[in-house]
Amino acid sequence: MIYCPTCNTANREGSKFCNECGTNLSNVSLLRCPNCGDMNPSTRTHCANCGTRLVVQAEPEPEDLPEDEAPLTPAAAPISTEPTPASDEPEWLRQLRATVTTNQAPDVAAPVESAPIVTPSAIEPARDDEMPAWLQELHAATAPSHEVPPEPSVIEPPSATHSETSQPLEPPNADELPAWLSEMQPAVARPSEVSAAGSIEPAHEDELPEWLREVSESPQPSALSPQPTASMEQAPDAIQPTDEADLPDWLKEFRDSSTPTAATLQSERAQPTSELPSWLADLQSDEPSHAESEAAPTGELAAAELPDWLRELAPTPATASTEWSMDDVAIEELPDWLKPPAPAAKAAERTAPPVGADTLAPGVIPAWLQALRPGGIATASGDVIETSGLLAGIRGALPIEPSLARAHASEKLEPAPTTVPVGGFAELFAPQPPPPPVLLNRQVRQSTFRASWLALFVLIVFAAALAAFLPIPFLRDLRGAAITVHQPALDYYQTIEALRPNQTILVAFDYAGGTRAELDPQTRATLLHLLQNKQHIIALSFVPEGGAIAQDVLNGLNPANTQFAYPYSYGDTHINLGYRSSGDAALRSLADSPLQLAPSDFTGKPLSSWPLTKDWKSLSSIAVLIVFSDSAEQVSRWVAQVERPTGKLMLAGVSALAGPEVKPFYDSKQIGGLLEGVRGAAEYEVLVPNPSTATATQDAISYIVIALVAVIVLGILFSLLRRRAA
Amino acid sequence: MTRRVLPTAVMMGTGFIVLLGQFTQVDVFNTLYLPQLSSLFVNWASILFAFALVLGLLNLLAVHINRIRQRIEGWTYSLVLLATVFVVLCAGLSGVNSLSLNWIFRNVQVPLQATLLSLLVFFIASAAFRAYRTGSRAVLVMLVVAVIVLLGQMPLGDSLSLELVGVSQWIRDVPAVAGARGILLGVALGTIATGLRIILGVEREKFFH
Repeated sequence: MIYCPTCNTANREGSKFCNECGTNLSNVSLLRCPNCGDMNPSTRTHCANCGTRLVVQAEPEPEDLPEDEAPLTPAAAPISTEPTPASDEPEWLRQLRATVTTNQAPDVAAPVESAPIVTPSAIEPARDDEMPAWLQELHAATAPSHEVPPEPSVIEPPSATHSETSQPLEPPNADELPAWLSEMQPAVARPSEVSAAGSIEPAHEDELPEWLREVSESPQPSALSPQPTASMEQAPDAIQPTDEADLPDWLKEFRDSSTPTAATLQSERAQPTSELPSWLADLQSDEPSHAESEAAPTGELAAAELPDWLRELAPTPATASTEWSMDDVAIEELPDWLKPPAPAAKAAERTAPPVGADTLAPGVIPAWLQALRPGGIATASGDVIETSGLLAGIRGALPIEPSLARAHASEKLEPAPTTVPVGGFAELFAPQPPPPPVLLNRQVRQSTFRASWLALFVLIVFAAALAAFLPIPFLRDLRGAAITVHQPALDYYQTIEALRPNQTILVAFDYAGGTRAELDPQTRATLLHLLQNKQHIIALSFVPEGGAIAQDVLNGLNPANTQFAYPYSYGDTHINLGYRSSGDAALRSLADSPLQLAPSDFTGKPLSSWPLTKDWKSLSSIAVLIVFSDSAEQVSRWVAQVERPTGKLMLAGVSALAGPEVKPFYDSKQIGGLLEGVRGAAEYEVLVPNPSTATATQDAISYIVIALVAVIVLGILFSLLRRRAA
Repeated sequence: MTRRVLPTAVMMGTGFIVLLGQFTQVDVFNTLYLPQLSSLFVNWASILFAFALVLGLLNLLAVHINRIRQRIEGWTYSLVLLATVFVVLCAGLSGVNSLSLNWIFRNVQVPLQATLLSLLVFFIASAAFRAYRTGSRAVLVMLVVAVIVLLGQMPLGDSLSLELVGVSQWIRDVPAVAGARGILLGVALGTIATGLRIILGVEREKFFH
């Protein structure tokens, strides 16, 4: 499996791209064999070509290793600041390590004579412009300068090759360092301090772990910590406490037995191994004496005992420095770009090949950037098919290069026409009159068309009105003797005529002011007929304006205003309940309990106070229901909620517009009689007989209708003629 | 969940009760007092309707007060509207059948409504001519039918031709009523469908979002 370095998704062996995020896996998942240079998957431990063990590998199990290659436990590797074995590392770190190791593997495994040394300082440091100011200053302060004469070093390097380059680094000033680096600085044993104190400062001991403190107290030089003997011999003096009373007993005994003097150190070297820890005894038994260790390179000693991951990082015997001081420990903790160039690296730089050779780490393009690299193939049709990257397989992707390389022709901007007479700076900003609107011929024609038609309407209406007030004799003669009465109006009249005197009639004024011209003649003629027959009238309305209309109609029926004589007294012969809330529920409530719906009349007096409604409890005392409405829906409600449940006889007077919809109720005998519009009122006036407003307006209505028909017909003819002319 | 489920449950329950309460002939429903509950809910609907009316009035006032405050174009009409509302409210404080309110109805609203309806004649004539300009044959049929009905309805129609009056009456009784009833049937079916969707909670998104 190949693990994606971006999302850590496991992909099949040989996958070029990550199944999850599309990261290019071809560069990051292979390891270069240090022997033959063949690329191997990162999961392999040995090269598939030559069988060489690959550099980056998982930590072998302890039982699989020989005894001398057993991994060091933390107690056995006291000063190790190297990274943890691969098995303890996270996946991303292992991948990263594999990448770095792949690039450096040939250098590490190559012979020393032919391959240059790869040290952290050999890696090209970051450019100055990429570093912050304080770091540039620090870098300048710590950069090696060959012109600076070497200062006398206290710690003489054992190798003669380091005599020229092993100059102690000049530590930067504490003021120039950041806080975190300043805190780290005391923990590092500077050469100057070592030379001054001759030992490691005791204050550092508190910061060391227990295992490290034991090792530092013991004079045993480790292969991994080849401290100079001179320094180690003087170190116990520095950690000697001032007051022996402060020491615990065990430490006193220990102090007595291991007085850190040069003599005791020599004697300690001759101590039997039984007093030492087993792991230290093993190391002591195998290693040569301290004098021998100074002469022998450290790399040769530790090469066989170190694990693989430590062995690859160990310096080569011929070139790497055998010195391992606290400075080295601190330098290892620093990032690569911050590490000062090692003396060996500086020596290698003199002999290193020029830039571009194998000494430089090859530039690694990130996987996400590699995936975005365009790789299209232009087809014959001009389309581009992407062959790699995230857009692989997509046709017609935007070609970047041609778009960017195309020269953009700048449009020439014509100078704005100056319409303002330049007579001065103020005139330039003077408000200019808007340009005259461009009228299309169609708009001109429409405006003239509207004016002509408006004039035509006015003339026709005026003529019709004039003809209505000035009846034309030949039309009256042509019309005949009287208005033709239709069957619905006749049934309406006969129903009222058939009522006995002193019966109560419920009349609903369910129409608004817009249809009052049509329905007022109906109501006036009907109520007059009822009053003449000595019927009692209870008026109400389910339209907000209906209450006032009913009152107006009832007031107009005052005998003083008519030529007829009949009993007329509010509360005795008629009463107005006014407006009541509309809807099916109100009508149903009227059918069930009229007093619950209208406990008082429109003046606010209770119905019980009027003689006409004193004993009114239900609709059983109502002889006929007469509904005047301009809405067929309202008539339908009356039929459904009142006429059907109570079985009362119902008449209706409606507007001409609502007539066709109400007519079916008459045809089905749910309505006993029907008046439609002014014509129905005129028919009723003819039947009563009581010629009134409806009859008088019949001529005018006829003329207006004729005028409207004439306008429509003339308009159509005019349009036809104009279309033919066009 | 409470915001959506609870209103939907209340709506569905109320709808079912009102619907089943109309079946007064079913003994089971009478035993469960569904007709009484249905009548109670209908009365509540009247109260809610009145409350919604007041709420709408307040919203109307707020909108027009904002228009006046910000001097939006036409704000003078809003001022007239607010003044009218104030006057009518004051006139109706003594009751819907008060003399002052009836005076307003009689002298303001009724003439205005009559005027608007009278203008309808001119609108119809103009619309008829404009409809013919489209060149459609259906428009021509419509205009011919309109002329026939107008002539048959006028008082002089009987004197001109009884056949014309008969044709006019047939048009009003048969095609016009058929079309009107078709529209009513469609509206009724749509009302049933909408009512069922509301009762069954299908239309809850429209009402609760």
